[in-house]
Amino acid sequence: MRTAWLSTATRLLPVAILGLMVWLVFRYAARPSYVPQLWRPWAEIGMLALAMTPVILIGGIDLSIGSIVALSGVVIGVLWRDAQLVWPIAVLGGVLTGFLAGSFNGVLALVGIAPLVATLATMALYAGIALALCGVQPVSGMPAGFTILGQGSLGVIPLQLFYFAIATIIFYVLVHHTVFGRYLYAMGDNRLAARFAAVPVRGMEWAVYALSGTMAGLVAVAYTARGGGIRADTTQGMELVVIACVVLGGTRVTGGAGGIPRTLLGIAIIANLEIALGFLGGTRLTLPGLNVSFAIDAHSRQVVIGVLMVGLAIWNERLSQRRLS
Amino acid sequence: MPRLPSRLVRLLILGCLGTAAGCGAGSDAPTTEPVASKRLVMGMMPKLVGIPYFNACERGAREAADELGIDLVFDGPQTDSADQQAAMIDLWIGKGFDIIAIAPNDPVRVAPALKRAREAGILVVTFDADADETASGRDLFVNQASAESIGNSLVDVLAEGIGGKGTAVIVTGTATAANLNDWIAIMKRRLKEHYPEIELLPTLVPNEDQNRARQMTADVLNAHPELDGILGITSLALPAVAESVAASGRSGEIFVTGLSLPNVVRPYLENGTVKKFVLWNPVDLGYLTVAAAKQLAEKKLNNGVQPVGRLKDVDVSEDTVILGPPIIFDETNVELYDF
Repeated sequence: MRTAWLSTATRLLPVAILGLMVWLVFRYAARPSYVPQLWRPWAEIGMLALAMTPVILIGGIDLSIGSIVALSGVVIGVLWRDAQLVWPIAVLGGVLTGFLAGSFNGVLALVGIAPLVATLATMALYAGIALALCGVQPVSGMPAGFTILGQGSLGVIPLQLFYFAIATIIFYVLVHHTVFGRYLYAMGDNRLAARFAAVPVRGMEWAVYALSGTMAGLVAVAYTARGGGIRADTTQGMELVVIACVVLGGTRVTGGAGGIPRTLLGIAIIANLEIALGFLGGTRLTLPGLNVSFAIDAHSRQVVIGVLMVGLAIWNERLSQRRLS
Repeated sequence: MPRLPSRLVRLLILGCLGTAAGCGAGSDAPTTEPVASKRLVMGMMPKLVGIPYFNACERGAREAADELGIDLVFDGPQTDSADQQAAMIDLWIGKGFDIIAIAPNDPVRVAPALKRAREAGILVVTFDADADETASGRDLFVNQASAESIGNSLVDVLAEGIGGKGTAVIVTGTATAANLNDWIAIMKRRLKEHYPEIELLPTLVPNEDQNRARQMTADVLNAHPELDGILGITSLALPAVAESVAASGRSGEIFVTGLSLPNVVRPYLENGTVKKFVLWNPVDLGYLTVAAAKQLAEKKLNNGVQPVGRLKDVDVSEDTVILGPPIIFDETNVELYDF
């Protein structure tokens, strides 16, 4: 009885944190109707996190997605600027680049190279190609028909949130209501057993990385359009935020447990936490009863985010251990 | 995993409740501090936080804010990221600031966010480096000194130091920073026109990272033993270059100069690695940014050379304000400055 109550509380804690964050965001927004604009870049991160979820469910990891976003964005920019193609063709080129880059990751993974090593290598490789293609001169001034894809809104809702909603539905069905999805969990639980159960392990391995790369290619379209251009090295560190969203939501980094709703929770918490802390930026907090006060600035923000992540990670670990026992 | 759908539903419901609660709180909250006090709220964003140059800017900005009764938030990204700058501008729009001042890491990538700020009725000022004028529609650029005077001073100091001929290299900051690229273009022109016997190696781009600047300098020293002079043109690049040259044991042999702060370069003046360097007063730049923005907000900024706050002879023209000519520092005058 008591453990059941505890486990419900445990499961609801992250949701409570999310509620607090969203409350803080709207509490400090002088223009509440502008808040969805602040979610715009996070919807892009969220799409990447959706595609990262199957990768992590089978016990893999994709460190190269930030670099793929940069590479695909650079391909779009360079095809438009240097090859003088119309932007829709350039966009196709960018998405195709994402698919190819992801497929290459998949091939490395299916021949048995540890994904951490393989995608660490391709992270550098793709970033290098992007820098070589683009040079130090960033692409800018892309046409309005293209930039609206990343800067437009319907009412007060940025287009990215609609993309994110569509992607969420697709990935929810894919992961939780298809054979493909069941294979993901089977592989994450026990790869050998899955192979003996006739799961096409190698094909699945390739597919999840190709999917992740393709999503990075699609996100690159929104990302490049949002800035009206692209610079080769702006996405550094993006992969870590994406992975943080997935594992913080509670998908096990060793695979086999978790899923799309958990990723949604992770992205929502991190996004609104960052925004809430940003709103508090420049103010001083005084702890009541204690003679301690500190300014919310770039440094303390990192500390708060770090502490919260450690806390949630421990929480998630306890949760999954209870489930196993 | 048969229980997942029901859990999803529960999460969604709770999420909606959270959002609804948030909206409820938001609607009765808009009359918090800024509006109630009727003081202008200004956000000022450096290229990155926590480096001596922008700390000096902040000192001047706070001085002006205290003097003029402005609530100042000085905040920015921890690396030279234009994306994080754009995200923070959006944040400040949502927060309802009256004035936003920014030193953009990339004139193009921050422009859409600046445009959104203007559309929300916020006064947009750039300082230190400019944003793309047409794409951002920024109201004012507070320039430390004309690009010509900075570029020319740097080249003249270098040419004098290496006797008008030889090989030199520029170490810059971020590849997309508009101010740095302007200066480099002007320096190259000046070299071609006045000092054709000075040969320039390809510019090194360490992205405002001191370790990378040190490493790149060490590499170029090894690869080019004939090198005579190095120009570190950001506040982080010059000390990194000087340290690397001193470590290689070639202090005095290689002429090291560039742009940085007296307090940062002082040890290298003392050990003889740097003889002369160039900078404006960043404390004054921060001060001027806040003071000029306030005057513009009150529509009291007119064209012509005029005093702004405690600063004399500020050159105001159309949408640009210039602090004044750069200062050339050497061991005779460096003691006069503390920043």
